[in-house]
Amino acid sequence: MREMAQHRSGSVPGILTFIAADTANFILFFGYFMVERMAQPALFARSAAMLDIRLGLLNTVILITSGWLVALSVEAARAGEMDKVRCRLRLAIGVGLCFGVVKTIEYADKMAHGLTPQTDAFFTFYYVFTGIHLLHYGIGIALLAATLVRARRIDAGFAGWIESCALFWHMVDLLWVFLFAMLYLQGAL
Amino acid sequence: MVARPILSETGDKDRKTEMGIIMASRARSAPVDRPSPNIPSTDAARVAMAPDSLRYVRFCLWMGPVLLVLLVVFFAVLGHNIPPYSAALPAEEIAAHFRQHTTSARIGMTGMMVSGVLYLVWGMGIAKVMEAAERDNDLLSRLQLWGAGFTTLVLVFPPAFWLTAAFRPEADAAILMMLYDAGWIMFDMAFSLTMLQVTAFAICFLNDWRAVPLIPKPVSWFAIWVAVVFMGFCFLPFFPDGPFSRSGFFNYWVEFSIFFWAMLILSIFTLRALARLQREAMEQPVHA
Amino acid sequence: MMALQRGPTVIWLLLMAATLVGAGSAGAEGWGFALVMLAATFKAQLIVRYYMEMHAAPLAWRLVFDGLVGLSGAIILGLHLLA
Repeated sequence: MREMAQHRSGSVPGILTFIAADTANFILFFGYFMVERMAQPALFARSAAMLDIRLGLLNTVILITSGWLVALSVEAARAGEMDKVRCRLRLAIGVGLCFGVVKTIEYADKMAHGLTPQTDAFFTFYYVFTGIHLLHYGIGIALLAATLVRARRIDAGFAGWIESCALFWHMVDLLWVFLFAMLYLQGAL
Repeated sequence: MVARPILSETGDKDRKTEMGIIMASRARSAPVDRPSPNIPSTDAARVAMAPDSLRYVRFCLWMGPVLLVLLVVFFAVLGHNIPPYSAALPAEEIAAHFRQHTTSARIGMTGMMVSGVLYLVWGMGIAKVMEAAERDNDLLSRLQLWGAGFTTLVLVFPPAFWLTAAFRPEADAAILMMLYDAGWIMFDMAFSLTMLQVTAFAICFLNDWRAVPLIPKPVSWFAIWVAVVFMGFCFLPFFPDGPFSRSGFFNYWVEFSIFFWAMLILSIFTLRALARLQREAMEQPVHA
Repeated sequence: MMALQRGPTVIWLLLMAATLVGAGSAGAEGWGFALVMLAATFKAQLIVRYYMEMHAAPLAWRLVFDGLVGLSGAIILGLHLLA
């Protein structure tokens, strides 16, 4: 899927258009959240304190590590070392799946304490934003899995394909970095 | 605004006339043994009679922008949908809308039901341009067309609920509210039908084999992004108010703006692709 | 300008370090939160520049992504301080 984005300035994978648009969309989310927070600072601080920073931290480490493994598999793909590609992708997916598990545990725990998307404005944003992020994460895992399947045969377009999937996965990581800081790490006013 | 097309709306007629004139003038000034368009078996006659596979397509594609204008008038302005009434409002306020704005609601919703069909026409135009790019089969252009067709129903049927309410404004407030809600749920939650349309479009043109693609790749990627963003509507049924409700910042202002710009951008670029296809067709020699 | 070629592993170490710094400042408010956002923006920039290979991309794309990362950090921190 290697295409020319601009004739003059060389080629970038076309998926960057998607990634830029999606990141801009998340910036809208961040802005809206922060503005709403200004209107109800005490509520937001109180509710944010109910989140488990350790789980958020664990998820951050999971995504960073998975992203590292995906970057390594792209390197291997460029060198034509398909065995390494498959091994690293399997590890990346394995580690990456843990994010979903941790998130599910987190959601279940919150629900068990009666904290739902309708509880208050903070929890609305928490569930919706992490939910939308989880959707992107799901798409990312599916793309990595498809890449792993495709890595079983020799194929001219593979390098371009794995690069695009890797870019998407790094976007998932990138968005989580900001979500983690904004939702979990912001202190009381 | 929209790029001026290179050929006129009746480009087809002009081209045939133009070719006819060229042929006729060649016949007049040429040696006696030149083929004449008036003799049915000659190459010139074949050119003049060759089917134009892109006939009517420009008109179809223009129906997209036309529909956008009509939607602004009928849906947004006359329908009082900038933004729609909040799902958190009591039934009496929804009822008040139908009782105070009866005439504009009737005109607006009638206009929507009648003009919704243009979305199908637009989708068919897009399908014809897609056919020039797909090479293995016509699956993607068909999927796009069905997606466009069902989105047409989403433009036609919800207004029927709102028109019903405007038709009987003296009905119980609770009934009017339910009609309003039903229309909005159908309008917003059938989004995956539109996702199908734009995704098929994107996949088709991302696999275009041309050195310079018919549709620039960023436009296809934008279309995929639009499809993914529509998934935000999934949150709508869970929030009667707030930014994810039907009148909220994300599920109304952002999503509806994106739909508007997507229709406009897709129209502009398919019209450009069509102009190029027609140019290429004129340069092609006609084979016996 | 020479592009820095760092292996993915070095980047991973930097990301982990920045994560610990950020998480260690959790709950901080006002300018303390600035440290959190600095760490987050630094991490985002590492991901964009090295994992997403923006360092090798055309200038226009580099600027777009630098802008997106910068804007994210600025909006979150800026609106935090304004509250």
